[in-house]
Amino acid sequence: MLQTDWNTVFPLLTVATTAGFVLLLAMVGRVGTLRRDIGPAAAVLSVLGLAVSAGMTLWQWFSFPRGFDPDTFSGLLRVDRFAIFFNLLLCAGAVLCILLSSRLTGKLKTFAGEYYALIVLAVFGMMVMVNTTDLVVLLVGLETMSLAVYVLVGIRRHDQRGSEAAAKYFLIGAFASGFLVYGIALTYGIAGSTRMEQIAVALADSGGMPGAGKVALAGLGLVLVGLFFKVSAVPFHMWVPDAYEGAPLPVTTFMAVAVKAAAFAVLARLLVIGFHPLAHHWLPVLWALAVATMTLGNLAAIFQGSIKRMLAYSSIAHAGYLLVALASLSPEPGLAVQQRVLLSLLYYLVVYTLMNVGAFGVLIYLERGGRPMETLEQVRGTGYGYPVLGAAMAVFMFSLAGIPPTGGFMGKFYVFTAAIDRGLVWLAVIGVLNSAVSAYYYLRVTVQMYMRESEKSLPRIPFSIPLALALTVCFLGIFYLGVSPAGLLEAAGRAVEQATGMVILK
Amino acid sequence: MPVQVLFYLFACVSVIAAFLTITRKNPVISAVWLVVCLFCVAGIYLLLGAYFVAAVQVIVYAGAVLMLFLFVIMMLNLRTGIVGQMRNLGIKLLGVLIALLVFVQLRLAFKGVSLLTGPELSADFGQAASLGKLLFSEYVYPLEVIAVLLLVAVVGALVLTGKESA
Amino acid sequence: MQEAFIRWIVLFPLLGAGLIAALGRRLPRAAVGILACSTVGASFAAGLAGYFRLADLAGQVHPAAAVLTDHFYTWMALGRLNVGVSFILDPLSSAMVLMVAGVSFLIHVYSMGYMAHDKSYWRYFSYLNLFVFFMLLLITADSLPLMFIGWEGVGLCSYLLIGFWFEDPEKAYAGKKAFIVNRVGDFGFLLGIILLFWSLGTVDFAGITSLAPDKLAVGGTWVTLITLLLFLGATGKSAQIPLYVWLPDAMAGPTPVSALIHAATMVTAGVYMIVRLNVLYLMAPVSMAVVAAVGVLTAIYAASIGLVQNDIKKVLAYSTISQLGYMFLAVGVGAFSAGIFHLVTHAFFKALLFLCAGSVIHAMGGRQDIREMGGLRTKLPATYWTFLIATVTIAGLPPFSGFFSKDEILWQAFGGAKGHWLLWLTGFLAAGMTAFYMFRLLFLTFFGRCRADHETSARIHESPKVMTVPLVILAVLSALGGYWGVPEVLGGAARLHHWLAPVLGNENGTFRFEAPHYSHAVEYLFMALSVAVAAGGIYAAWVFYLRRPETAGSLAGRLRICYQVLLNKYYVDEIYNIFIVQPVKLGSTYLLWKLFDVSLVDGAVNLTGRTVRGLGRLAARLQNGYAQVYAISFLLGVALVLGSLLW
Repeated sequence: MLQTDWNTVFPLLTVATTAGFVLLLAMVGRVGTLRRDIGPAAAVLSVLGLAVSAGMTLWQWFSFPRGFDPDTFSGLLRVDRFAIFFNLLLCAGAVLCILLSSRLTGKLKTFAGEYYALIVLAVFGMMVMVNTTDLVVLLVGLETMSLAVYVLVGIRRHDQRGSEAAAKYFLIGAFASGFLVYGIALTYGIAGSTRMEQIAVALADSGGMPGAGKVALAGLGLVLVGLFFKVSAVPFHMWVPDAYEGAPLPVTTFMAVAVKAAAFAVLARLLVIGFHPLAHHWLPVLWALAVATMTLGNLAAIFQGSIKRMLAYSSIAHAGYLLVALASLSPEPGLAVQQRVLLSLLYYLVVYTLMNVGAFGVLIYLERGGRPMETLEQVRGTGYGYPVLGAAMAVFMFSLAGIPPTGGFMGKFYVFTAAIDRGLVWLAVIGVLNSAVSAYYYLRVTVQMYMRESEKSLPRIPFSIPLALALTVCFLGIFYLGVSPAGLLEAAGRAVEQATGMVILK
Repeated sequence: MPVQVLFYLFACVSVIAAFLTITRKNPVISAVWLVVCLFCVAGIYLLLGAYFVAAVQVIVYAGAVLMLFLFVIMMLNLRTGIVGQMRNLGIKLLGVLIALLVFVQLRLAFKGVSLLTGPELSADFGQAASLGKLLFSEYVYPLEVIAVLLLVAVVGALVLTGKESA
Repeated sequence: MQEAFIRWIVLFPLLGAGLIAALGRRLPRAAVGILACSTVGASFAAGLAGYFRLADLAGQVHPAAAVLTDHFYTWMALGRLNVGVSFILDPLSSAMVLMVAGVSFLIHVYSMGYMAHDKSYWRYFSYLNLFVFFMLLLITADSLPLMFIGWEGVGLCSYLLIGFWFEDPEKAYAGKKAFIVNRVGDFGFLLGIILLFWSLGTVDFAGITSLAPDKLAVGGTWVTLITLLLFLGATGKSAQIPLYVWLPDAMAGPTPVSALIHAATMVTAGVYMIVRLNVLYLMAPVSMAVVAAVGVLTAIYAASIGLVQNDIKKVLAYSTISQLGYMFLAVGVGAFSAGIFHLVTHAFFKALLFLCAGSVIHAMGGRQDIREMGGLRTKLPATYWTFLIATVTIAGLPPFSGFFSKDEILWQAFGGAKGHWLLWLTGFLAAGMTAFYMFRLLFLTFFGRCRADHETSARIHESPKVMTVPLVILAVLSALGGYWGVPEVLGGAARLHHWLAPVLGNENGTFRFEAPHYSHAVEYLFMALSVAVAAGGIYAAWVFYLRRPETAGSLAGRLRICYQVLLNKYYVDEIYNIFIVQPVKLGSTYLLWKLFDVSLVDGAVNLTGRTVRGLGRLAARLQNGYAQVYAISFLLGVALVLGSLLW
């Protein structure tokens, strides 16, 4: 009989069940006599479900490792502190995105319930991804997430840009998945297993089949390509601006924040555990990609007239900074040397979530004529008309640009010092140079917001509780993390202790 | 030896069929070539001893899914020539070249590797019973996750095509 | 010694900024102003208490141990990097705190009058308080990262305050320019910190001072590179060649802001930083020479531009750049205490000059062109007298403070161990120019007949007490501030020099400033020369602008090219635009953007030359070429990744 500790699975189960209930609710809303807008109810239900799940993961965090069995389902489900950290981050990111969605679903009408259900299901997929060290489970989780996100991108069916973006994203995404699957197959062919720990053992053991090294490298390359697509590293980034621009803003936020965090978590695990014996091979690739991603993302962002598109390129640039962190991993085995790098990655992802939700949230809040603001022209003068929103946007932009005392500065600081610690001074220098360049286009948004062309008064924006709540959380969070990063650092430190801890024991 | 001959036969036919699938202008003919391709893949599964998977491949893909495709194509009455005109030859050529580059790289990676030295298969490998046991014991977790994946697909289809109420 | 009250020096203004930002809209104007002033006043009081505590301590323990520290909390701890939010009050920072808090307090009071009619009164004071917070943080920080927070923070506030009148696009542009130029400098600064951390493993000042002599080679590549990068940061913040271009444009902000940020405090941050890291700089002779050369070149360069400017604030802006050049000259030749001395006296007299200019502009209804002024002596008596004192001080006439500080710098530039007669000569000529352009400004503004139109001149009136009282206090400080630095050769005690001595050099005295070895007679001679060149400049100004006003015009006519070059500031803005801004813009637009974003994708579409006649939404969307191009780019990536992994 299979031994299963249900305490381990409850967070996942809760998320899946929540999606089920939200779908039921959506159906109830469609029944003849009951016809009504179930959007708000579905949102509340989704948030509640995610909150309960987050609460359970929080319990797991504190009772780890005695309160439950971290390895269950014959080792396919791995709940260590690294996974728990990301579960919490993903739940939080999704909740923030749901808060940003209140206006969008008001307009979706028919499919409001399905919209929230898809977000919750995507979170489920992500949690599956980060809660495992098995490549097959990882793939299934990744596809669950991707499929839900493809649909979310095209959820406004009558919007041309949205449908176009969804179709492109889907096609290229399927293309990428193909490479990922092929890579997993090749890796399995060499290692005889899909478990990262066993892959590491097999790869480290040089006395395998003759010439197998090349096949292993090919497998590594193809798996990496599949994940680089998800984290939008150059040159696998070309879908990003279109998809981000075509999707409704809350979905864009969700993609920029949660999808990227989950993909980076998986990438980190894969590099630190499974493919670590090949570190000498993949490190140069990561260096090159980090430089290309930062530089191209920033340069392209400079020329965007649409803030949405600018933020899309900015998210590419930030993927570059995050790749700098991964590129600073050490080829030496052992956890202690990797800890600082992983720590900076985790820290950066949290800050990144907050500042992106904030920036997109302000754009959503500033909607005019039923559509969120998107271009630099549109936001002109809004900082003056809406002082609180203007100030909040300024803070988010400063944080994205990495100006102290915001969390964005601390994140970059940790990432770059991690690189320097590894002796990659040149990489850190390119990173700092890039963040100096990025200040230009982030700042331009603030300047536009505070430029006032005419005296025409701006319409009053109706107050929205969920939006205001999300923005407040992001605003305070960014300052808190900038001024007092110690708490999160400690938590991240405990999370990375567990990232590979069990491998070393085995 | 006959096994190897059969393998190359199936492999060649599946590749050719796949190529024809994406180059035919008439969607019905494309779909038929896809059936051929999927059949050949099922054949390869058979050669590998994965009998159950081969059967499922034929029943589900070549049978059900492709029939559905054909129904849809015919119902919508899509005519010849609507799918995929060869538009920009330069871009296509570039794509083919780079794809060739990737192919050559992968081929070279396999140089000198003997792939016939895998572990011995157990006696009941590929049988429905053993597969079922594995799926519902060791791999029950990914199986359940796939159930959710299917749910996402259903919801997605509904959202993208379902009727909108006023 | 741990003293928990030091944090309040920094925190009071932050408290004020927060309170005003939160409640300012609802509070009456007077309350906002008084709140803002009192928080800065409280900082000053705390600084004063710290000063006395420090002076007390200095008598009891070894001078080098006479330092007050306040560890607030641990900010970041990661591996060997451990940075706390900790403040230090040593002789250097206490002198700076008193100067900054004191001048800020006076300018806050002045602002209550100057900004009385502005509609965003509370916002202004909130920013101003925030600025003081960041400035004090910069000064009292005990480590480079914390200093960097202050460094960036003051830049941010400067940007906010320059662009304070948002409606004006020109002002928003000036704010942006200041910010971007400063980012260039900050890049150097941050890089310097990173390299320093990399080579020493520490970023707090005490650690740097004690570890650097052991771990770094004197005159080695690393220490030179680090100090030069940090100096690049300083040229941005302190408006030196080549990054000075933002300061004249920054005059678009309200005048008290110019006085506080762009004259007395923020722009001196670079000088302070170098003095703070004096051991590091003493270990890098090349960097010291660069600092001195850049300083003295900036001094004469900006002074020459100042000769012909017609905007009252622009003249003062170039004068500030020039005077900052003197400070860098001082620290560049190793005369750190002389640099700080000039920093303090300059803060007094330049803040005073700006505030007087503000008073003049206030009276003139916003006009800033000195060609439209004249004869204001009788109409604005308080402003005139204080302006006169400040002008005499900056010109360098004894016994006003400017004489002592500038003469000290010139003397060290000539006679110091790292001095050179060329440095002295250039600085000496700049001193003559300074006297000339300042008195030109004085004569054109306050003497002669009034050239303003009738309507304006009828409304000219002296500013209210709340504005003139700070002027008088600053005038007293400008006049008498030299007291702290009267050199021993003149029978003074050189108090500031002795007060700062413990923080200059390292503990065992390997790296230490060396005083000039010349007889007193030589020193007297140089003093006399300084006075003479100042007097010469004043006389020339008097001849040109009062006695025979037509000479100035005819001279400008005869030296037309020179005049035009100076008037257009050596065309540096234009040169930067042509050689840096435009190429970067064009290059990135045409090369990068076109290549990666547009031409590749659009080209794929346009090449076909056909419109897409899609049947069915999906098919149409997919056949516009984009998806194919994306797939090809993706495939190329695959090929590259595989290629680099496999071969």
